[in-house]
Amino acid sequence: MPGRNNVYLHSTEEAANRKNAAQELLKNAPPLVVASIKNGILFVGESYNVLLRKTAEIYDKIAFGAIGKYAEFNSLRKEIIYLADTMGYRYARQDVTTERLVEHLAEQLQVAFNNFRQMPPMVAIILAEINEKPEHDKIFKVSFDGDITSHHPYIVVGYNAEKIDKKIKKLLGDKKMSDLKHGAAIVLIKEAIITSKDDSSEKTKLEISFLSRNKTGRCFYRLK
Amino acid sequence: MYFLKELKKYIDSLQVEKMDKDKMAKLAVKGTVIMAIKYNKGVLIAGDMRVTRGYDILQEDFYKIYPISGGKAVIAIAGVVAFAIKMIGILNLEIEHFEKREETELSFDAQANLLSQIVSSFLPLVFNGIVVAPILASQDKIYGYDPLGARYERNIWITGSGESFAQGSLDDDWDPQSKTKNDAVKMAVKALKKAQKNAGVGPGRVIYLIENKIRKLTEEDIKNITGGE
Repeated sequence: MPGRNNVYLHSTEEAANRKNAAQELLKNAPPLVVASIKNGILFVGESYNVLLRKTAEIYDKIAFGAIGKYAEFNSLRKEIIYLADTMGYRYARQDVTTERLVEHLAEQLQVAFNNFRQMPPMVAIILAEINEKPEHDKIFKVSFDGDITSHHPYIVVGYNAEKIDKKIKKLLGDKKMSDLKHGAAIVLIKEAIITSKDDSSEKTKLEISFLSRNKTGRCFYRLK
Repeated sequence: MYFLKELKKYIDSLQVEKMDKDKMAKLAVKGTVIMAIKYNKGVLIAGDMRVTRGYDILQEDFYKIYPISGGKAVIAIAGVVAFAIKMIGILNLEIEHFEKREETELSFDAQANLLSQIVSSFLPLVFNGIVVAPILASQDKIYGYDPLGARYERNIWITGSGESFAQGSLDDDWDPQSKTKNDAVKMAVKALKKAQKNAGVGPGRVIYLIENKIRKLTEEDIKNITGGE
């Protein structure tokens, strides 16, 4: 029968379509920058709604950042907080590792992406963990299809990510990200986000949170 | 209430009917006297440091008072140590989990309510001689618990096996508005001393003050206030 063939799609083709759809949405999501600096890890994201937070605390030294659909990444956030708390209670607080949480996230996202009966998940999630020295900090990105990538010393995701990345490199010059303290780093990243906007007259609302290297116990707090 | 279900499952799995009450009394490690006293600027919470098993003294340096996650409250425990520590663990876990999940603080009353539910879920064990009676205190409130999980808000609360001896040196007409920190410390030290007439209560003592900040008094601080006692 003619026409039938047009309806049927090979699974690789289907996957490519889903990938495109998710990438399209993520390209237009407000940007988020996660940077490992001298006294901690900094999360700076553009956000238009105070209720829809894109950064959050996960465990003592681990924090979460995400772009994409709020409902989707929020349920994943709750899931990994539960996992981290359970692990911390069963074993010990220092046994909760980012790798384990990232693995869980990747598994969930991969399964959801391969389920062709549903919409693909449209999120990119970043988990970051501080250590005693900036060079040992861990920043992982888990994308919508379950891919895991590791980034150091910083990562930019969302709208105009490449442009912002270039701006940050330009602003940094000879300096290193790991030499900056949070005050200077916020100013730098803020400028990079604002100047790479298409319409620079538009007002920018930022969400800033911080994992502090100098604290003990729960190290996460919000700056704005 | 995310972890309470699992706690209940655990308690159900213990096969309470098969427990021997007398054996349990010999095996169980117990802590003894704790008290909380309200004064004009905050709350004092104190306890001894002895834990016993049957007629044996196991430890003279055991802490029965712990600050709770969230920085608002302090818990003191009397009764079977194993389950008391489990209660503190679950309470801390629930509070921290709530704070991270909902991104808001859990109020003190909610924490007290949660502890009440945790204590009452140990009900099947109470009839086998496993009794835990904690005190939860914040800057302006004291909640005392009975082993069944009921909570009472009082200006002074004392539990443990040394209770009846200490009761005599507590002021019945204690008015928290007119009493200072020093009055409270003096009374607590006296009560702890009296409680030592019970064999379960040791000479060690821990005193916490909950004002704007939670702080533990050193032995030196206590001696300065009481004049060397």
